[in-house]
Amino acid sequence: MSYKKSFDYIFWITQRLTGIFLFIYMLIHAVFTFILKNDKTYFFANLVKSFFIIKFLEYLLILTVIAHTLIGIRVLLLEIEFISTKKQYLNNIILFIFSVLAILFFIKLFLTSIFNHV
Amino acid sequence: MSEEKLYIFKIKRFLPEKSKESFWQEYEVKLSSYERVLDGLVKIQETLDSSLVFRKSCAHGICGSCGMKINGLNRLACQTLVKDLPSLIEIEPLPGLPVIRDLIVDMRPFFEKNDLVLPYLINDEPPPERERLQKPEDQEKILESITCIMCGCCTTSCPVFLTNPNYLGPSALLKAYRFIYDTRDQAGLERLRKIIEEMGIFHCHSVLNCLKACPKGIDIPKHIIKLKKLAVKKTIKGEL
Repeated sequence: MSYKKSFDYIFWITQRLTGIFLFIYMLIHAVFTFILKNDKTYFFANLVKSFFIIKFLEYLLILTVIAHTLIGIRVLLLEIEFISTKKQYLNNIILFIFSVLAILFFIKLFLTSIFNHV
Repeated sequence: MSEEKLYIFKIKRFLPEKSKESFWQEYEVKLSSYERVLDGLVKIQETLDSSLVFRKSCAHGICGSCGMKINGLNRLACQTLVKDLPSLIEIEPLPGLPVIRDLIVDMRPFFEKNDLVLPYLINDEPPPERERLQKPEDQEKILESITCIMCGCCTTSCPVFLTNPNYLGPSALLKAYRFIYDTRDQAGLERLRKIIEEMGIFHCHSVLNCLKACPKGIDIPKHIIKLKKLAVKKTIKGEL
């Protein structure tokens, strides 16, 4: 088992990557919503949002935020010594919460897309 | 005597007089289950290839000379039994430090970082007749940190150090803890200031690789967290 395969390392790198992604996304989002502020773009944005792929990407965005937050909470729990650094179950709890939320989100996404078509 | 088993030692070699690039070389060695990786390396050096070089001194997990990356993890070759490893054993020098030759790395950057935290007792009071005494409960606080053998396994396993060589690293921070929490020392605040300013405690992101790497089983992240808390407390009180 190398360090690169340990959850602690994966969490560290994930938090950095999601952090960079969210920063760039927020920047682009803020700039575009400020520049393209008229009725025509509002109508176009609503139209685009109804596409399945856009909805899927929105869910991915929410999951990115959740992953970033959960890993942040992990570091916080370790640093306030709520959980000992030697206890590995903290990683399992973080993974479990993330997996449950991811599954629930995608179930909701697929159910809403099916019922919208019906 | 236990039965011998064939092990393949895949060693990352670096011979500066031959090539600027490092390369992998394989050796087949028969070892008993009670033998260690260090025994295998000695056997290779004595019987197969005398040009292979590595550091070793006490061979009993005290000097910390034989720290190397064995099958992806930083460990001491003298403490790692071959029976706990697969038959293919990959050995590399400690990462993040300049390689001098084969498994020997230049430890100077590592020791320079330790020097930054003033790793010695500072006390201006005149010394007593015999020794500076310490209460057992005070000694208990630093007992774990004292057992550090400065092998460099923790610092060179830390991804923060590997991506930012200016970071002090877990070993130097542990050394700082050892003296900051020593009741006989008087330069705690100075050390604390140094480990905040010199890319220290607040650059630790709790990746916990140092915890897995330490051959002495020291809970290094716990000590760094305690230092972070102390630094925050002192800052709020205006002492820093």
